[in-house]
Amino acid sequence: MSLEVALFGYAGFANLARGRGRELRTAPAERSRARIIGWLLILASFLAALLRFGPYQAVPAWLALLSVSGVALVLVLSRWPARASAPWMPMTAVALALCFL
Amino acid sequence: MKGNGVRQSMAWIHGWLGLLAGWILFAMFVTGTASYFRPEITRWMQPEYRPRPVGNAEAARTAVAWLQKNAPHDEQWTIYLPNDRTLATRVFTRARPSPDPKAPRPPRRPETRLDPATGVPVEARETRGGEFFYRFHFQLQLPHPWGRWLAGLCAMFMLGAILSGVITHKRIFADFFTLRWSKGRRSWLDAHNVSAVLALPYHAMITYTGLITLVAMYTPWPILANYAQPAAFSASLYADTASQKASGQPGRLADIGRLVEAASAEWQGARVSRIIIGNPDDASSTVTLLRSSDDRLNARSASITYAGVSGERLSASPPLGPAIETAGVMLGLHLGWFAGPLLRWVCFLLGLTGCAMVATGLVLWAVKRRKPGAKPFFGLSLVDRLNIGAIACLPAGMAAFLLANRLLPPMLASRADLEVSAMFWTWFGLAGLSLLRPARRAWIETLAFSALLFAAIPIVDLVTIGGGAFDGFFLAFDGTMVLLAAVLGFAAWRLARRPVDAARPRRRVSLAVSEVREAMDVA
Repeated sequence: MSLEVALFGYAGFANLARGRGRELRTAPAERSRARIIGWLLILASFLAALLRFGPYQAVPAWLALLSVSGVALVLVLSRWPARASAPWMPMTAVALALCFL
Repeated sequence: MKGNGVRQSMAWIHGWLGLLAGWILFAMFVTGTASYFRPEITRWMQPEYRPRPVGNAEAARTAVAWLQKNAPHDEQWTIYLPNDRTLATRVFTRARPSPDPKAPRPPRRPETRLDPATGVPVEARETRGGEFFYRFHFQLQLPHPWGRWLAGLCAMFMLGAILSGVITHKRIFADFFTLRWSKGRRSWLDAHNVSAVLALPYHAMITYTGLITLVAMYTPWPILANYAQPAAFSASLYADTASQKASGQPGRLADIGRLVEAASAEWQGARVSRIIIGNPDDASSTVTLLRSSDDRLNARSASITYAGVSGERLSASPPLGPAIETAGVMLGLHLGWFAGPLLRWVCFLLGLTGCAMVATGLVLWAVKRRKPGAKPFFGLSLVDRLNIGAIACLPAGMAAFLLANRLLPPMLASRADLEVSAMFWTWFGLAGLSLLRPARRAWIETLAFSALLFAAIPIVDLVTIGGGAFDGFFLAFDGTMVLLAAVLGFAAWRLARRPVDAARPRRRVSLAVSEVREAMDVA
């Protein structure tokens, strides 16, 4: 399975959404931290794709999985704004575990 | 058109390009998305066919045995070997051209599907299966070449709409995660933006690679300008090795299974996907084996050619040049054959996102022009009705296609065509009937009807094939139908609820700001 790419993507996007503080009321001090974590997680999802799909298929597979995770986040965010980004840490943990499987 | 800025011009172009091609694009997106599961749809549509899986070499042997019995003197045989997804061996043959040089070249005979284990034609209900959606996706059920031309034109419109849409949308990053429900026009714009922006790489890729796939047909002039014969162009691209002249001496093919194993070993265990045998009954017969491209982006694969009688290795395809390699990768990206199960589902979901983008765009065009209380002008009513016919009625047609497969007697003559007719009669019939109802009710009722038809598929499946439906594959397929029914039912239910946006009081401070923003975005 290559679910870890999507999990990293969801966690990354969730942090970017927190970092913008528009849909989610994040404290200003926390925003820049969330943004940095968000970008790092997006980078992690790319590295995971590279690891899983090899250099040739990594880019299309990464973009596809990242897009779907973004759509999923936006759908959840539009209905349950507070709960959408809450599970980003467990998701990152599961994704990390999947990387080493 | 308001103002003369680049954004306004682009918004105007975006609106009209999207509208004019939108209805056909929606049908192309929906059937194209279904085509990610082309072999699975075919498999579902022939429930009685459950062959014993055999190895590639064995499948090749049984296919050749059948061909030697049924088309021994043909000029060329093409054999598509089965894999995990396509269960049958598919064979095509082409008759020897008549000695008269003026006679037209004989066409490829229709496909025969063989059981890989026994080598006899598959005995199952006649159906076009997933192949129908795949063909419709780029031929639109129109005579050749008009369907492909129209599909290409719509793809050009789509590409233009994507580019102009990106330029128009000035708040791509600000609105990246913004989706607000129950706010009328604002919600449609949000939904259109989100479905377009989040999957933008996919939309751009699928539109561009779709166009490039048929580029030699859309613009043949560069080839005509550089090659005296179009055949010389394809020969220089593909290094056509299989078209050797027949010697006139009879010959018998060597064991094909051994060649399949040899080629597979040479490709480090990669599968052979296709076999082309030239002059099969001749002493100078050739056997060309093509490598499967299931594991790589490039859909055009390497090949090895053997002498048919001696089994001697004659040649292998040279490494691909950069142009054909690029074309192959683009085709591969479009077809998505490289995608494993998870990635295929992801592509399917992205395809659905594309459907949502086109649908919300079409609805948005109408919503923007609707004035509360005023009677809609003719163009607006027309767009509204076409939107209902395309967006809400097409799914009903596709469900009817699948239902007809189960409900028509399996042995009925020309049932494959009847299944196709069932789709179009349901689609256009429902669209016609919806004209009798007010637009709002028509939306709700056609969406609910589509949802009902999809929900009926698992039930009809269970009733008609009985215990056979309790197989992992059939359960998964029927489960997907239930999910699609749920999505359509959700859309009908949302529409049936009274809109709440007008009643909700807004905060005073943000009112002016949001009004201005809205006006700018919608313009």
